Amino acid sequence: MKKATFTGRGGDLFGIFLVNFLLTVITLGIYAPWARARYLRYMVGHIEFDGEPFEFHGKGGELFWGIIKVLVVLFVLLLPYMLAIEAGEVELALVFYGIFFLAILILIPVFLHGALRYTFSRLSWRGIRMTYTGKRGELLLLYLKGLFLTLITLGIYGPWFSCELLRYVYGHIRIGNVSFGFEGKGGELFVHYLLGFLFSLLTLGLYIPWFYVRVARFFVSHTYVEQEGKRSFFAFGLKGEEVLGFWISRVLLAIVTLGIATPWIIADWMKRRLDALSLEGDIDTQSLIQHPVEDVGAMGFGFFDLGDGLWGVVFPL
Amino acid sequence: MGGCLPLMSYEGFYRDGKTSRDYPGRLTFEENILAISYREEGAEALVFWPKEEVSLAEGSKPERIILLCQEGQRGSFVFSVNKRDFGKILAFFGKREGRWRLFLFSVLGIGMFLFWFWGLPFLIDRSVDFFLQEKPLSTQKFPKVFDGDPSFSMTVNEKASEKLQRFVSRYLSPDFPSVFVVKASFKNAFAMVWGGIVISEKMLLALRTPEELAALLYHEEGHLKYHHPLKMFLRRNIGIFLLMLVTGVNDVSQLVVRTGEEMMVLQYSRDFEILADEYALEKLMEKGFHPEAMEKLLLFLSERNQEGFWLFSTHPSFEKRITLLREKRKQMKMKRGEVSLKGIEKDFLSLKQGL
Repeated sequence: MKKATFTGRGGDLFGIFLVNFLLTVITLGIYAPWARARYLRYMVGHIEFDGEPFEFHGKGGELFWGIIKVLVVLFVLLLPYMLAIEAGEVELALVFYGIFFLAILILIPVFLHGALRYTFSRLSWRGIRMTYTGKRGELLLLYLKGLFLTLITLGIYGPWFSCELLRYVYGHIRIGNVSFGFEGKGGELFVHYLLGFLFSLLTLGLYIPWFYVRVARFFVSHTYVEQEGKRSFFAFGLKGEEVLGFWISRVLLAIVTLGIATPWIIADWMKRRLDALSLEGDIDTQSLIQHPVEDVGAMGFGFFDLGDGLWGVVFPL
Repeated sequence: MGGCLPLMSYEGFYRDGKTSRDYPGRLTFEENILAISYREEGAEALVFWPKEEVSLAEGSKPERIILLCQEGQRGSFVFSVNKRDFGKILAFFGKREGRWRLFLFSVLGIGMFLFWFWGLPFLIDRSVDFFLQEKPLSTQKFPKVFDGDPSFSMTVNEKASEKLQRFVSRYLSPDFPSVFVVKASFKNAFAMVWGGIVISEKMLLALRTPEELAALLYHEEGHLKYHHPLKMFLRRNIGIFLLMLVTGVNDVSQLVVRTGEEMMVLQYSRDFEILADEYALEKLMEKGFHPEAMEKLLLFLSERNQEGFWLFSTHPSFEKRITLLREKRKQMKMKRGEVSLKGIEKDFLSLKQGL
C-alpha cells in the first residue's frame, strides 16, 4: 500500500498569501497569475505520494498570457452584445447574448481540454512529467452529449455525465508507463446523490459531511492506476464525523479571525484529505519512463483556474 | 544571492529525467557548478549542472532535499543533510530561512492587517466621495433600472410611489431621492446602489406618525448622501475579489474567505447605520420635526423586531443607537423649520389609506 500526504504548513502558506496579496494589490491585479503560480507550486510541491513530492512547473508568465487570451476571447464574444445594448437594439442584443451563451457552452470543453493538457504537462513526480493525451474533438462531443442529456432529463443524467467525463479524462492521464483510469458507474453515483440529498434534508443538513465522504469515496475508490496490465485502486479513509468536526471548528475559527486563519485552514483541510488517500496495491516506481513533453500554452488554464474548476476535475476530493 | 559551498559533498540518488530510477551517487557543490557522479549499470558517470539552471524543489526539507536541473528535465538529485547545512544550501540558492522570514512576514503581516482593515475601506470611501461629490447619486432617478431588473421579486406600487414622492417633496425636501413603495412580504426600507429608496407597503402601514416616516426616509437618504450602498458594494466585492485572486476559489477557501469577509462587511454596515441615524437627526431638527422622532422610530422598531447576536447583525443594537442619538441631540440646537408641516398629518393618513 502506498500513502499520500500533504506536508505544507499554514504558516508558510500565510507568508505566501501575504506576499501574493500585497503584490497583487500594488500591481492592481497584474501580479495575480504569478501569485497563483507561486501558490500552486507550494501546494503541489507539498503533496507527497509514497514519500515523494509532486512538482508544479507552471510559470506566472504562462498563466498571465493564458488569462489575457481568455479575456480577449470573452471580450470579442461579448462585443456585439455590448454594441447592440449601446445602440438600444434590445432584440438584437438578446440574439447576440444567445450566441455568446452558445459559444461559451462550446468553449468550456475546449478550455477544459487545454487546461488539462497544460496542467499535466507541468506536473511531475520522481522527475517524470505527467501527460494528458485526450483529444479536443472527443471531449467536446462527450461534453455536448452529456450536457444535452443532463438538460433534457432535468439533471438526472448528471451523475452519468460526471462519470463519463472522469472516465475519459482519467483514461488519458499517464505518468511514464503508468496510466490512470476510472470505472465508476453513473447509477451508483446517482444513488449516492439521491440518498445524500434525502438524508441531508431529513437531518436538516447534519448529514452533509457524511454525504461528502460517500461521494468522495465513490470517486476515489473507482480510480485506479495500471502498470503492465496490473490495476491498483485508490482508497479514501476520511470519516463523516471527522469532516463535521473540522467544518464546524474551522468556520468558527474563520469567524473569530475574520478570515485571517484561511491559510491554516486550507493547509489543514488538504492534509486531512490527502492523509486519508492511499493506493491499495503496488506499482514499480523505479521504472517510469519519460514520454515526450509538449510545449502547451496555458489558455485553457486561464479560463478554468479562474474558478478552480480544474482542480475539481483533477482532484475530486 | 547566496554564497557557495566549496567542496561540500553529499551522498544521495541521481535521477536522469528520462526514467524515475534512482542511481546511487554523490553531489559536490563547487563555486558556480554542481558536479554529480553516479553509478549506472555498474559504470561510473559524471554530469555537471551550472548553478543558474538548478533550483530547489518546493517540498525540500533537511531529511529530503531535491535539486532540479532545468525544472527536472535534465535530471534531479535527492539527498539529506543536517539542519545547519540545510540553511547553507538555502542560502546557496538565494532563499532565506528562519528568523529572516519570520521578520519579513511579521512586517508584511502588520502591513496587510492595516491595509485590510483601514487602508482598503479608506481608499474605497475616499474614491467614492471624490468621484461622486459633484454628481450625488441621491438625485438620480432610475425607475426603469429598478422595474426592469428581474432579480427583484418586489412589485412597485406606482400610485403609492407617486403619492409618497409628492409627500417627501413637500415636507422633506424638493429634491429628495426617488422613493418606491413596493408590494413585498417583508417590512423594511432600504437605499439602493443606484440611488433610490425602497419602502415596503407593510412598513409604511406600520408607521404611526409622519415624524416616524420622515425619520425613516431621512435615515435612508443619509445612506445615499454618504454613498453607503455603493461603498458597501465595493468593499464587499473588491475585498472578496482580491482574496480570491490570491487564495483561489475552491470549496474550503471560498467558505472561509467569504465568512471572514462577511463579518468585516457587517461591521462596516453597523458603522454606516450610526452615520445615517445622525444624518436623519440633523435633517429632522433642520426641518423642524420633533427632535425625538428618530429615537421614537427606533424604539417602535425595537418593540417589533427580534435582535440577533451583534456580531452577525447588519445593524447595531437599538439600545446603542438610541443612546448615541440622545448624546448627539444634546449637543445640537433646534432650528426653525424650513418648510411648513401644516397638513402633514392629513397627507400621512391619506398615504396609508391609499394602500
